[in-house]
Amino acid sequence: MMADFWKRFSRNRGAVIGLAILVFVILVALLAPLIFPQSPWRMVQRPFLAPFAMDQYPLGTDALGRDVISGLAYGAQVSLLVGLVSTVAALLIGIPIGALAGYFGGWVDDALMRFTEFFQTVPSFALAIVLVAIFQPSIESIIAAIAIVSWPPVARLVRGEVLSLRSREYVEAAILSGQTSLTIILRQVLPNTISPIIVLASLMVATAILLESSLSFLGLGDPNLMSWGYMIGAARTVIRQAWWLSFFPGVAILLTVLALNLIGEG
Amino acid sequence: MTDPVLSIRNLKIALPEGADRDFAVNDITYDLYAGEILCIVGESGSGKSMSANAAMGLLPDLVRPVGGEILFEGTDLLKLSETEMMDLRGKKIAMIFQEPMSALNPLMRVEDQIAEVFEAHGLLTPKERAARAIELLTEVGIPDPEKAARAYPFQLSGGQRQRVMIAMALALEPRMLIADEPTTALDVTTQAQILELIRNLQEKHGMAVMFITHDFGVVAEIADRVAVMQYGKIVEAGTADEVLDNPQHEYTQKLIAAIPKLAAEASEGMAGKTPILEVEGLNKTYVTGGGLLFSKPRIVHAVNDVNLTLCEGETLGIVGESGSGKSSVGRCLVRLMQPDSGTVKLAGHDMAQLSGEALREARKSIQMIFQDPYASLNPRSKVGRIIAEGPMAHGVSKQEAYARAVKLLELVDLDALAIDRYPHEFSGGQRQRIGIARALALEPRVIIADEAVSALDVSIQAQVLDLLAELKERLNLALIFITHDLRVAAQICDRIAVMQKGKVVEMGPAHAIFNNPQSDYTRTLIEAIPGREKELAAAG
Amino acid sequence: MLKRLTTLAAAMLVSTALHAEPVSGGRANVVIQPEPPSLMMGLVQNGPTQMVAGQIYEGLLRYDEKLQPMPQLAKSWEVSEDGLTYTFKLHDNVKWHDGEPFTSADVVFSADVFLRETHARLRTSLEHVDSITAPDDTTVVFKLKQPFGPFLGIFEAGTMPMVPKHIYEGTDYKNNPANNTPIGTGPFKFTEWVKGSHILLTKFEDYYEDGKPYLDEIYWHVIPDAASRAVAYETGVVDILPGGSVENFDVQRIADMENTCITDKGWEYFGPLSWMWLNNREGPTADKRFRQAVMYAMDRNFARDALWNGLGKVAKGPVSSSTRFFTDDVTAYDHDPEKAKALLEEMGYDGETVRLLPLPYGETWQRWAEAVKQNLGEVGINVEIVSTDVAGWNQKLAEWDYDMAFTYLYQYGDPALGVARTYISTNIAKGSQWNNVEGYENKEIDDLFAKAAVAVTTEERQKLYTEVQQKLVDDVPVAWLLELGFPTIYRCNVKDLVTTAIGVNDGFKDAYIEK
Repeated sequence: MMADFWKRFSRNRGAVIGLAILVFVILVALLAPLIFPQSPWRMVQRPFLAPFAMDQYPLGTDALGRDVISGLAYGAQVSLLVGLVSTVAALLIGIPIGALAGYFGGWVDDALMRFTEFFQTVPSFALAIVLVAIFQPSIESIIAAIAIVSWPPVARLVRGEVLSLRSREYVEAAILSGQTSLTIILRQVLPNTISPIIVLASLMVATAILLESSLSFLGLGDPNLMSWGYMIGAARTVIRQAWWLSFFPGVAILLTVLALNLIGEG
Repeated sequence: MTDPVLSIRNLKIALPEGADRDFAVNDITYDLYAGEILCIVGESGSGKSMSANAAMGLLPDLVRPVGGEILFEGTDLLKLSETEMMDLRGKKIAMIFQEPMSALNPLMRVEDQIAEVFEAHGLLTPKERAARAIELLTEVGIPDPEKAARAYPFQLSGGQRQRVMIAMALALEPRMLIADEPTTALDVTTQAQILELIRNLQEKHGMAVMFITHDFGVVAEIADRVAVMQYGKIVEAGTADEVLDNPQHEYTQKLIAAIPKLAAEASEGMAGKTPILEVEGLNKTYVTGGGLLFSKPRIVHAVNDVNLTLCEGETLGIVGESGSGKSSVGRCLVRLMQPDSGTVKLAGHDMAQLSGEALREARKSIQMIFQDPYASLNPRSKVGRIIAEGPMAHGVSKQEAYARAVKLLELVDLDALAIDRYPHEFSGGQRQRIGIARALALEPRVIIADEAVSALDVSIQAQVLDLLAELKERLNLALIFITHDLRVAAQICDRIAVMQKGKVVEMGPAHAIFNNPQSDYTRTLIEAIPGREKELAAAG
Repeated sequence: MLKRLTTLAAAMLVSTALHAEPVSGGRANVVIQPEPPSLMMGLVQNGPTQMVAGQIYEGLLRYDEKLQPMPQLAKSWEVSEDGLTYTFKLHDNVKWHDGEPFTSADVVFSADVFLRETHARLRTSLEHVDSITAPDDTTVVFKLKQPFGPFLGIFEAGTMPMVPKHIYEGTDYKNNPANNTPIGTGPFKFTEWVKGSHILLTKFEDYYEDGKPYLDEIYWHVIPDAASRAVAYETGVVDILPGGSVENFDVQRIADMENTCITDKGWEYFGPLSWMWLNNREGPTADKRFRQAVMYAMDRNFARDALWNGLGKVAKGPVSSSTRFFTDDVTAYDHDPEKAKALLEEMGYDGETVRLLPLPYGETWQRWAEAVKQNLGEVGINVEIVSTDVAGWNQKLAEWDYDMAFTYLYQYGDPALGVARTYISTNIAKGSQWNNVEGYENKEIDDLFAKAAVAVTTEERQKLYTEVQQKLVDDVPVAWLLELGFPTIYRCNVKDLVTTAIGVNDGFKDAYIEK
C-alpha cells in the first residue's frame, strides 16, 4: 500500500519538488542550533549590513545588527512548529465534531453544524487577531487561535466522509456484530477518512504558517520567538532602506507554503 | 458467405507494467459478418471488452494495441487518425453500454441528445432531426415517444434509458453495433425485452452485432455465434448451439456446468420443523421530497404488510426485481432499518421492539451477508480483526476471538494465514467467504444473505452457493436468501417468496413456484429468465 | 553608519551658525501629529495642542536652552531675598487677538481662577502660592507660603498660558463656545481648522513686539500615517517635521536629503528621559545587585546609535542633563557584562524569568526591548517579553503587574517638578503610570527631595540634588536608558525655528524663511 502510494506520488513532479523543499526546511529547522550556535537575537554586526557584503553574514543583518540567515533558520522552527501543532489541534477539534455529526445525523448533526457554521461565518483572520489580542500574544495563544479558526473545514470534511461511509456495508456489518457506536466510529469509519484528512491537513499547515506570519506581521507574534512573519513585520518600516530584511523571509514563507500545497495536491 | 464486416487478426493489446498479466488480449482472431450476432463471453478480467474498445478507439490511456489488425470493411482501424475514427464512430460503428445513465447527458432532453448525433455528422435540418428522433424512439418501442422525447434521462426507467441509447446508436444506420453488457444492470423482465429488441432490430437492419456478456443465459437467448474468452485468449468459438450444447474446451464446460439449473428439487415439507423466525404485518414506508418547494411528498410503500415464517434449517428465498422491497425486508429483520409496524419474532423475542443492549444481544442470533464483496469489508482492517471484532464486542477475549477466526477461515476454505492480510489482497469470491466467516463468528441461528452472490462471476458464484449450502447443513442454520436471480433461488432455496412493489405476491415450495406458478407476475418472471427455452429444450 | 552620524551631527550645528537679517513673509508648512483634540491650551495641554496653540497663547516667560528665563508677556521680574515674593512687570501694549487690551487682571484670572480649576500639573505647583495680586495694570505679584525653588520655571505657555478674562470669567470653561476659536496674545491667530485636513494660523498684525512674527501664516498638515508624513516632506508638501513625526528608521534617509537640517534641541524643558521600571517589591528586581547588573549588562550606546540614529544621550541618572541641578558626579554604568555576571553570581540569581513590557508606541520601542532582552540574556538573565497594547500596558503598570517595563517621562526643567515624583515614597499608589511605580522606598531620599524643593538658594538646591542623584544612581530604583533626542527636521532655509527650551512649541515667533 505504501509502495503504491510512493509510486503514484513520485509520478507527480510538483509533489516531489514540494517534498524536497519541505525536507530541506525541516532539516534547516532541526539543525539550526548546530549551524548557528548563537541566538538569532544576538547583535553580531553593525545594523543594516547588506547581503553578500560579509561572507560570515551572507544575507546581511537587520535593524539591530542581527544575522538574517540565522533568523531564517530559527524562524523555520517556529513556523513549522506553529503549523504542525495548530493543525493537530484543529484536527483534534474538527474530527470528533465532524464524526459525531456525520455518524449520528439528526439533531446532533444540526446542532454541531450550526456551531461549526458559526465559526465559519466569522472571518477567520479577524477572529484570530481578536483571540490573540485578548489572550496576549504568545506561542500558545497563537497556536490556540489558529486551531480555533481552522477546525471548521475539518469538521465539514469529516462529516461528509462519515456520512458516505456510514451506509457502507462494512459499517452495517459492524452494527450487526454488536459493536458500540464509539468503536464503529473509531475503528470502521475514521480510518477510512484518513486520506482526505491528510491532504487537507497539509494544506492547513500551509495556511497556519501564513496565519502565524500575518499575525506576527501585525505585531501579534510571540515577541520571544524569531519567526518569519516577525522578521517581515519588523522590516516593514525600513523596507526602503533594507529590502533584504523583508525579501528573504518572504521567500522562505512563499517556498514553504508552496511546497506544502504541492504536496497536498500530489 | 460474403466478406466479414469486422475482421480481427492476431490482435495483441498490452497492459501497463505491473498489471497481473502482460496482455489484455493476446493474439486473438475472429470475424463478424453482416446480419449475425456474435457473443463474446467471459468472466471479469477475461479481456472480452478489449477488442471492441480497440475497434472503437476507446482503450484506456496506458493500454495500447501492440500487434495485429482490426479490419473494418477492409480498413485497418488501428491505423486511422482520430479525425477519421470520429467520422466512423456513430456513422458506421455504434456502441451501447452497460449503464445508460452515465452515457447520457443528465441535463439534456432526450430528443436533443438524439439530434446531436446527426448534428455531429452535419446531417439533416434541425426540424428533420426532431422528427427523426420521434421515429427512432417509436422504433425502439418506447411507450408515448412524443413525451419521452421531451423527457430528461432521470425521468426515464433503466429499460427506457437503454432504449434511448439504442435509438441513438441506430440513428445513423450503422453497419455494426457493439453492445457491451447492455442488459446486466436491468431487471430480468426488462432484460428479456431489450434482448428481443436488439434481435429484432438486427434482423430488420441487417446489422452485424457484437454482443459482450458474462451471462450464458443471455448467450443462449441471442447469439448466432459465440466466442469464449479466458485470460485474454479465445478458448473456444463456434455457433451458439455447438458451444452451448457441446462445449469442447474444459473452461467452457466448467462455466456451463456452473450455471444454476432452473429445475428446483422437491424438498421435504417443513411441517415438522419449529419456526425460528416469524414475521407478521411488517410495514415500511419511505417519504421522499415533501420539502417546502415540492407540492407533495412521494410516499413509497417499500414493505407492505409482509408475513413470513422461517423454520430451523430451512432456506427461504425472497426474489423480486429492483424496487420490489426484498432488500428492505432483510434490513428490517436485522433492524438496520426501523420498520413502521409489525412484529419480527426471533426465537420468541420481538426484534422489532428491542433497543440498546437487548437489541445488541438479540442480533447475535441473526447475521447478514452483504452483496458487494468490496464494500462490505473495511479496507483498513486485517481479515482477522474483521472476523474477531464481533465476538470481542460481546466480551470474548482477543485471543479466543482470533482463535475462532482461524477456525472460521478454515471452515470457509480459506488459509489461516489470511488473518494477517488486508481485504484488498483477496479476490471477490474470497472476500465473500470472509464475509460469510464474519457472519458466522457470532454463531447465529439465522443468516440473511442479501444478493450475496450477485456480484460474483458464475464459476465463483457456484462455489459460494455450494459453501453456503454445506454450512447450512453442518451448522443447522436457517437462511433467508434475497436475490433477483431466479436460477440462484431455484438452486438453493427450499421455499420462495416472490415480491412485487413491497408485497409478497406468491410464496411456496421452490419446485411449486417454478413448475406451477400461481400469480401472473411470477409467471412473467420465470418466462423472462434468459436461456430458459434452451434449457427446457435440452431437458426435453 | 558612523560616517553618516557625523554628517548628521554637523548638520545640527548649521542651525545655530551664521545669523543673517530676518526677512518677512512666507508660509510655514508643518506636520501635526496626531490631530489635537482642542486648541484651547488652558483646557488641554497634550503634545500636539501645545505645539499649535503655543503660537496662539503665551505665558509670562520663555526659557532658553539652558532653561534660563527670558521675557515674554512679562518684560522683567524680581524675586525677593527671602524667595517668597515674585513681582512681574508686563508689556503695556499687549492686545488679545480680538483687540481687547491684555492686563494684569488677565494674569490673576488665568493663574488664580481658570488654571487652578483646569490644569492639574500647575495646580500642584500653585499649592506653594499664598496670593496673586495686581497692584496696577502692568504689575503682578505672586506671594509664596514658603520658598519653592522651581517656581520661576512654571511660566511657559504650556504650563501657565494666559487666557482672556473678558471671555471666560463667569462661564462654564469647558463648554464655552469660544474654545473653538481660541483667542490669545501670541504672534499668530487662529484662522481655520478643517478637521482631518489642516489648521491654518495667520500673522497677528497687532503683536506687541515690533516686526514679529516674520511669517505670514502657518499651515499645519494633519497626516495620520508615519510613512505618509515622511513622503510629504520628501515631495515638498511640508517643510517642517517636528520631533516624533516620522519613524526613527526614516530619519536618516530624510536627513540625508538636500537642503535639510536636523536638530535635537528644543526639548530641554521637557527633558524626556527613558528608563525601565524595575519592580522593587518582589522577584529578582527587588535585589539592588540585580538592578545594578541590569545597568551594567545593557549596551545603551548601541541602542542610541542603532535605534535612535545617534540622537540623544546615554542617561547618567534620574536627572536629565538638560534639567537644572543635573550632575555627572555619580557612579558610571558602562556596558560591562563581566561586572554584571559577578553581581548576579554574588546575589545568587537562580535564573528566574523576568517579564519585560515594551512600550507599545511603535517599532523602535519593540526593537529596543529585543535588544535589552538580548543584552540581559548574554549575562544570564532570562527575560520574557510580554507584548501588550496601550491599554494593557497602562493597566499592568497601574496594577504593578510587571518585572521590568519601558517608559519615558518629561522633567519640566526642574527635579522638583519632574523627577521627585518618581522616587518619593509618598507617591506610591496604584492606578497611575506617572508616580513611584517601581515601589522604591527610602526615607533619606524623601527628605532630600523635600528639603531641596523649598531651599532658597540655588547652591543649596544643587548640593541637595547632587546628593539625591548619587544615592539614587547607587540604588538603581529604575534602569535609566537614554535622554531621548526627538529630532526636528526642516528645510535649512527656515531659520531660527528652534531657539528655546520648548522648541517648535513657541518657535514660530522668531522663525523666518530665507529667500
